Amino acid sequence: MEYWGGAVVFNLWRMKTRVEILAEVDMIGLTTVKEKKSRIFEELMVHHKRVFLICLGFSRNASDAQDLVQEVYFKAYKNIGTLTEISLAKFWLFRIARNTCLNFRKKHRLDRISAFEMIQKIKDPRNPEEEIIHREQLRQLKGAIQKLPKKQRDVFVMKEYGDLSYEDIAETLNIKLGTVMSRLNRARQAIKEQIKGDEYD
Amino acid sequence: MTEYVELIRKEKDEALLEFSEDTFRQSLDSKIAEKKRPRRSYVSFFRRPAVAGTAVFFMIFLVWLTSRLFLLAPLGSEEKQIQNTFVQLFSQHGTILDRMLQPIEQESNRTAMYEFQWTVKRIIYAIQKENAREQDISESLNRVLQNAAVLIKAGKGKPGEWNI
Repeated sequence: MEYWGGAVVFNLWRMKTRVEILAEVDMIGLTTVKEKKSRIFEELMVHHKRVFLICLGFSRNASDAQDLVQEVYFKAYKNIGTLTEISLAKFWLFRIARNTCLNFRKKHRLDRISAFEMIQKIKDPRNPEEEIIHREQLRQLKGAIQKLPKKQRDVFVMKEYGDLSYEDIAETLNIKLGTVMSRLNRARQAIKEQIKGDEYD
Repeated sequence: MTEYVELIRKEKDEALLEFSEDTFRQSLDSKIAEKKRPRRSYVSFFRRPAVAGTAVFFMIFLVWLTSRLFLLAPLGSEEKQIQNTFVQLFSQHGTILDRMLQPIEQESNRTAMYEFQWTVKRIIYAIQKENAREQDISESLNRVLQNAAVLIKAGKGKPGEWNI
């Protein structure tokens, strides 16, 4: 009998909470949770180019980045239910992008391959000499990015490839604004020195 | 510093030229649609060999059990047939059977009783194994009992000699 009573109370409580949830959804002008999810997802789609560029910074070339951006959005779609605050959706997406790219690097052992393999060919080159120079410079740059410490690389790619603001990077990586600035500064210096060193070699 | 910024800008521009929004969106939509599609649970169920094996084993067991219960039931449908046959025989040949059984009781001969039991068993066996019809059994028993009546009248009747 006691169990019956408990079950009734529990079910009534559940019904109440469900009603409350639905009321909350109605308050923000959305009728169903499904609609809410699809609207958030469409809002996230606005950032697809930025995500693509972040993926480009972490990966070998544009082809890899295209695969990665799809994976990022698919993951976001699957896990959109776990998103607690809509206002933080953008940073949540960038975090997914970063983690997906890091997993990709691990999976394909990008840290171990040479920078030469990481660059892509320029399509339809007008000037072959220019292409060779560009490829060489790009090789140096990719090599320098690869050699950066992980934390500095995260900040560098998000800033230089994703064009994220300092505040957005801080929110995405869950670090202080000052930390973002110092890491970026160190990363830039390291890149500069690395490229200069390669030129001397 | 400016140099690497310029390099990154070039790389980004080239990559963006390569990036096809339509392909991206189409491919993503198809991936999402595939995820949304409800899975046929029974297909995945039978893909698991262990579960499929268990299911097949269970079905075989069920078939075996059903056949044991309904199809091969000993004396299931035959029981009634045997009963009917004997009722019919006793109603038709009650006097003969009385006379046949008398000598056994009087003599208290174990061998005679044993032979009589075996005769009854042979009748049951014939009904069960040869799938004989009720009428056929009745007819053959009729014939046997008529012969028995003749033998008893002649004073030769012994149950062991009944040819069924």
